[in-house]
Amino acid sequence: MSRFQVLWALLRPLRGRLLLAIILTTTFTVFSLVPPLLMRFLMDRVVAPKQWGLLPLAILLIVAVPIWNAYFAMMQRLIIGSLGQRVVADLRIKLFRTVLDLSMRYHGENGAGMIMSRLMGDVGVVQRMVTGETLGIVSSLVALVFCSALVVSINWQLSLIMAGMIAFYVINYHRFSGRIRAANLELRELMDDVTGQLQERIAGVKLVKIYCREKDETDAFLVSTESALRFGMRSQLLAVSLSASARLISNLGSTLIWCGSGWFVLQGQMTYGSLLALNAYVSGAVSPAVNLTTVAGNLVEALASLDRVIEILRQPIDIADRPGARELPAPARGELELKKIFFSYKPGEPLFQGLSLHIPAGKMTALVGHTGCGKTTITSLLTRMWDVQGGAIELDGADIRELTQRCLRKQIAVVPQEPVVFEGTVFENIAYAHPDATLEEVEEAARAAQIHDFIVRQPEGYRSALGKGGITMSVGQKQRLTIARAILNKPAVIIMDEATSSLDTESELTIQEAMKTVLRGRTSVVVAHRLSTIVEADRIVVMDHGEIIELGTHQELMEIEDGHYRQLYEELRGKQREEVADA
Amino acid sequence: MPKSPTPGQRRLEMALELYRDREERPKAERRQLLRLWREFVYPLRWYLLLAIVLSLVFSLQSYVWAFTAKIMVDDILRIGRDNAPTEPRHYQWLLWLLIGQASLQAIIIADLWGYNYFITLVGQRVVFNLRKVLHENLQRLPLSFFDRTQTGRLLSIVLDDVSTVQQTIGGTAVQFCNHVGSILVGIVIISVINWKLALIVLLALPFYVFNYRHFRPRLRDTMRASRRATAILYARVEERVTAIKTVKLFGRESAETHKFVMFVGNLSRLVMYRIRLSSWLNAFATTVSSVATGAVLYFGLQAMRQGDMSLGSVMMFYTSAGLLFSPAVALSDLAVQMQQISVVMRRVFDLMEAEPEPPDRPDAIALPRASGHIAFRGVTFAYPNDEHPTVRGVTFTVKAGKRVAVMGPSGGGKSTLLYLLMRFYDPDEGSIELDGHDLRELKLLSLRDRVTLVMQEPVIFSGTVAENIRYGRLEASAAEVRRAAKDADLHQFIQTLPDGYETVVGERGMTLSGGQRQRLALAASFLSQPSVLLLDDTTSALDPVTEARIRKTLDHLMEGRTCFIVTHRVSTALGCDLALVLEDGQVSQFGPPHDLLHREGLFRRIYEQQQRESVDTIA
Repeated sequence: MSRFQVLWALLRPLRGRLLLAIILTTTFTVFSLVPPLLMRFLMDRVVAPKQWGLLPLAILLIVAVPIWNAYFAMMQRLIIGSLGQRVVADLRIKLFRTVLDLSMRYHGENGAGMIMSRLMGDVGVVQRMVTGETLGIVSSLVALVFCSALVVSINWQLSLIMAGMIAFYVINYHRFSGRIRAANLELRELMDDVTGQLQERIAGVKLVKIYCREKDETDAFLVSTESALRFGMRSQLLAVSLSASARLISNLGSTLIWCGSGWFVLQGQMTYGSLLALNAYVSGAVSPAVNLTTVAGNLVEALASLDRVIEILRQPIDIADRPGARELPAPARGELELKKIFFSYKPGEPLFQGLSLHIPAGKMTALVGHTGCGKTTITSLLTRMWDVQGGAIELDGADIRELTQRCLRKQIAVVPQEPVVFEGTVFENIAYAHPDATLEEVEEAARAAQIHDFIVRQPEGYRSALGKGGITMSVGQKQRLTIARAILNKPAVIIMDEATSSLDTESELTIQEAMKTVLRGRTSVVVAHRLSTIVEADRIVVMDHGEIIELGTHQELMEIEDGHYRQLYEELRGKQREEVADA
Repeated sequence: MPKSPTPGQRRLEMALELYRDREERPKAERRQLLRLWREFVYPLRWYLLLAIVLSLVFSLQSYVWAFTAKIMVDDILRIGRDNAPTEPRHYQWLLWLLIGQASLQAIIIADLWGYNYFITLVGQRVVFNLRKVLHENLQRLPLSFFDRTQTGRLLSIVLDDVSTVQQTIGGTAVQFCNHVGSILVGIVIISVINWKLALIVLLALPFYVFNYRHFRPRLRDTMRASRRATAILYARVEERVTAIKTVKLFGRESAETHKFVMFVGNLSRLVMYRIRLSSWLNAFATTVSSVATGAVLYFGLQAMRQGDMSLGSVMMFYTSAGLLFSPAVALSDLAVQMQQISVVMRRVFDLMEAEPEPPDRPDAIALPRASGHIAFRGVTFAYPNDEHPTVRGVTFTVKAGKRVAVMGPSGGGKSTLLYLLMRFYDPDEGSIELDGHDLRELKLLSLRDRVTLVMQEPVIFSGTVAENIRYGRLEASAAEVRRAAKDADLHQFIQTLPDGYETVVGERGMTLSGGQRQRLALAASFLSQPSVLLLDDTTSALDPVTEARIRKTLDHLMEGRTCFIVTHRVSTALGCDLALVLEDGQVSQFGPPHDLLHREGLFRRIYEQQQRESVDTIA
C-alpha cells in the first residue's frame, strides 16, 4: 500500500465533506476577488459619467459583498475545521490503538519518545497537510489564476511587469530560506545546550554547593547564553532581511505598475477604475504565488510525517487473538506447561532451544540463575508479551495462543521488578484492571499486600492522589501497591519478578511477608534473587544459558555433589556472610 | 423559560470547565515594573527611543502612499475634474512621482531594517542581563528553595519567561507608542481632509473595539483550555506508552483506547469552539468596518458631487480611515496583554528577589585548616512546610579523625544530619560546631571547603571525565586529577576510554555504570582534600564486586579525616569507631559499635536480622 492509499483509506469516509470543502474554498476565493471590480464599477460607471443615481446601489454592493464574504468564510472555516478535527481524531485513535496492540518487540526496539512524537507531533502535521496545505494550494492556485487573468485582461503590458516581480520575489525567498533554516537549526542546538546545562546544574544543585562552585557556574552559563543570544540576533536579522528585501521587491514592483497604469490612463487606454482594480489584483496575485513556493517545502515535511505515521500503522500486530480464540472456564487451575519451546530475541542468537518445563498448579516455582539465563524471558512468554517461535505453552492444557489475551492476562497476573504507578488516586491504581471493583475488594487486596495500613493513614485514604502533587511513596510501598493491583482479580497464576536492588531491612521484611500471604495456595512463578525466597519455594528451577540444568526442592538440590544450585547457593550466602565476617 | 442546552453544548461546557486555567493573575506590582525599567531598560533608553521613532516613521508610510495616490488622481490624471487635455508636464509629473515613490520605498525599507536591528539589540541585551541576575541569585538560593521548586519550573522562568519579558519590551511597549502615534496622526489627517466625515469614522471605532473586547477574553480562555487539554493528553499518553507492559499485562488496551477517545473528543470540541469564536469575531469586525468605510465613501462622493472635495481627497480619506482600525484594536488588546505579562514578570522577579542563603556574618571567620572536631548541641530541624521536625534535640560530640557510622530506618533523619553539617540548612534550635566554632560563625565558602559530602546518587555533569573530577577543585593540575582517579580505582578504566580523560560523559556522551559514576564522584572528593568527609549511603546501589573494590578506595580516602558514613549494613558500622542510631529524628544509641552489640536496641536487632539472612537456616 502506498502512502496515498493509506491516506485515502483514512479520508474515504469523509470524501463528501472533503469535496464540499474544496468547492467552498474555490467559491470563497472567487468571491473575495469581487470587491475591486465593484470599485471599478463605482469609478467608471458612477463617478466618471456622473451617474449619481447609481451611487446608492454601488455603495450597497461595496458594503454588502465583504460582509457576505465574512459570513461565508465562517461557514467554510467551520466545515473545514470539523473535517480536520475528524481526520486528526481518527488517525490518533487508530494510531494509539495500534501502539497498544503492538508487541513488546516493537516497544523494545522503539522508545516511548519516538512513539510520542509520532502520535502527537506527526499526526498534527498530517492534519494540517490535509486541511491546511491541500486547501491552501487550491485557494492559492485559484487566486493566482483569476488575479493574473484579470490583470492580463485589463492591461497585458503591465502584467509582464507583474510576472517579473513575482519571479524576483520567489527567487529572493529561495535564496534566503535555506540560510534561515540552517541558522534556526543551529540556534536551536545552541539553546538545547543552554537548557541542558542549566537543567543539570539545577538538578545537581547539591553538588554545586558542596564544592562551592556557584560563581563559576554563573560565568559558564553566561558564556553559553551570550553565544546563544548572539546567534539569535544573527538569525533574527536574517529573517528581517528576507522580509525587508521581499517588501522592497514587491513595493518597487507595485510602484512601477502603479505609475505605469497612470501612464496608460493618461494615454486614454485605461480608465481610473481599471487602474484601481489592476493594482488590487496585482497585490492579490503576489501573495498566493509566495504561498505556493512555501507550501512546497511544507508538503515535503508533511509527507515525511505521513510516512512516519504510516510506518506504525503498517506494523504487523504479531501478537493478536486468533479468530475463534476462546476463554477458559472461570476458575482456572493454573497449571502451566512449556513444551519444547524455541525462542530468540534476535535472529541468530537463540535463547531457548527446545526447553520444556512443567509448572504444577498451586505450587511456588522459583527460577534462579545468573543474569541473562532466561528467567525473565520465561515470564514474558507465559503472559504472551512475546510469542514462542517453536513449541507451545499451555495453561490448563490449552495452548495460550488459542486463548484470548484478555482471558490469559486475567488468569496470569504479574508483579514487575520496577513498580509502575499511574497518575490518579490510590483506588484507581489498585483497581486499574477492574475499575468497577468495590471498595471492599480493593481493601481486601491492599490488606493482603500489607499496604492497607499505609493508605488509611493518608489524609484522603484510598482517594489520595499519586504522582505529581500527590502523596509520595517509597519504592517498597509502590511494590506492595503493585502486588495489590495484581491480586485484585484473584488470578490463578502470579508471576513475580523480585527486585534486585536492596531496600532497607524493614521494607524488605514487609514485602516478604506480603508475598507469603499472597502466594499461598496459588500457582506462582518467582524470579528469585533472595535466599529466603528461594529456600521456601516448592520447586526450584536452576537455569543457565536458556537451559534447565537442575530442578527440585532446596534439599534435593543441595544433595547433588558439585551441583550448580549448591554452587549458586554458596555464592549468594557467601556474599551475605562476608559482611558479617568483615566485623 | 430558558432554553435547555443541547448535549453538544453541555459537553463543551464540561470540557471548558475541565481545562480551565485556575492560576490567578494578579496585577504587576509597580515596584517590579519600576525595577525592570530602572535596571534593565533605562541603560538602553537611547536605543529604545530610536526604535520607537523608526517604527513611527514606518507606520506613517501608508499615509504617505495614500497622499501620493491623491496627487495621482487629482493632479496628474485629473479624474472627475474638467477635461482639460493632457499636457507633457503631466507625463513629467508622473515620472517624478515614480522616482519619488521609489526612493521613498528604499528609505522605508532601510527604516524597517533599522527598527528591527535596534529592537532586537535592546531585547537581547535585556534578556542577557535578566538571565545574568537571575542565575546569580539562583546559585545563591538555599537548598530548601530547590526542595520545593521543580526543576522544570525554574528552567521555564530563566528561559521562557525571560524571553516573554523581552517580547514585552520589544513588542508591546514599542507597539504601544507606535499605535498611539499612528492613531493620532491618522485622526489629524482625516480631520484636516474633512472633519464631518472624520466623525463617522470616530463613531464607528468604539463599536469595532468593543467587538474585540467582547470576544477576545473568551477566545483566549478557549485557547488556554485547549493548550492545557493537549498537555494533559500528552502526559496521559506518555504515561501509558512508557508503561505499555502494565497496560498489556492487565489487558487494558480497549479501556485505554476508550479513555483516549474521550480525551481526543474534548480537545476537538475545544478547537472547534475556538474556530467558531474567532469566525464570529471576524464576521462582526468586517461588518462594522465595511459599513463605516461604505458610509465614508458614500458621503465623500456626495461631497465631491457638490464640489466640496476632490476625488483624490475622497480616496485618500477612504484609505486613511481604513488604516485606523487595526491599531485601535491592538491598543484595546494591550490591557489584557499587560495582565498576562504581569504574571510572567512576577515569576521572574520573584525568583530574582527570592531570599538567598543567609550571608556570612560581618564577623565571620575563615577556617584555613580544621582538625575536624564536631559537636551537635540540641539540634532540632524541620523542613519547610513540614510540621514534624526531621531531627529533634540531637546532641553528640565526635573527636577529630574518628569514623562515625550513622544508622537507622529510612526517614529517620540520617541524610538530614549530613546536610546540616554541610550547612545546606540551618538548625531551628541548637547549634553545630566545627573545631569549637558555631557553623554560622564561619564563612560559608570556607566551611564547605573543609567539609565534603559524597551523595548516594552521584551527579555527573555533561562534560569530559577530567572536568567532572576537577569539579572537586577547579585549580587542580592534570597530574593531581590523574592521582585522584588512581586513588578512586578509576584510572585503568579511563585509560580504556576512546579519548581517555577527555572523553565526554553524561547525557550527551558515554553512559557510565552506577559504580563508575560513584567512583568518579569519589575522585572529585579526593581532590578537594576535606577535613570532614560525609558519605551518604555511597555504596548501597553497587554490586558486591564493585563494592569490595570501592571499599578499599574509601578506606584510603577516610584516613586521617573525621568521617560520617550513612549505611544500612552492620558490617560497615562494625568497622567504624562510633555508631550513631537515629530513630524518628532522635539519637537512640551512640557509642562504639561493639559495645552497642551487647546492648538491647535497634543496632542489635539489625545485626541479628542480617546474621539470620547470611547464615541461613536449612534445618
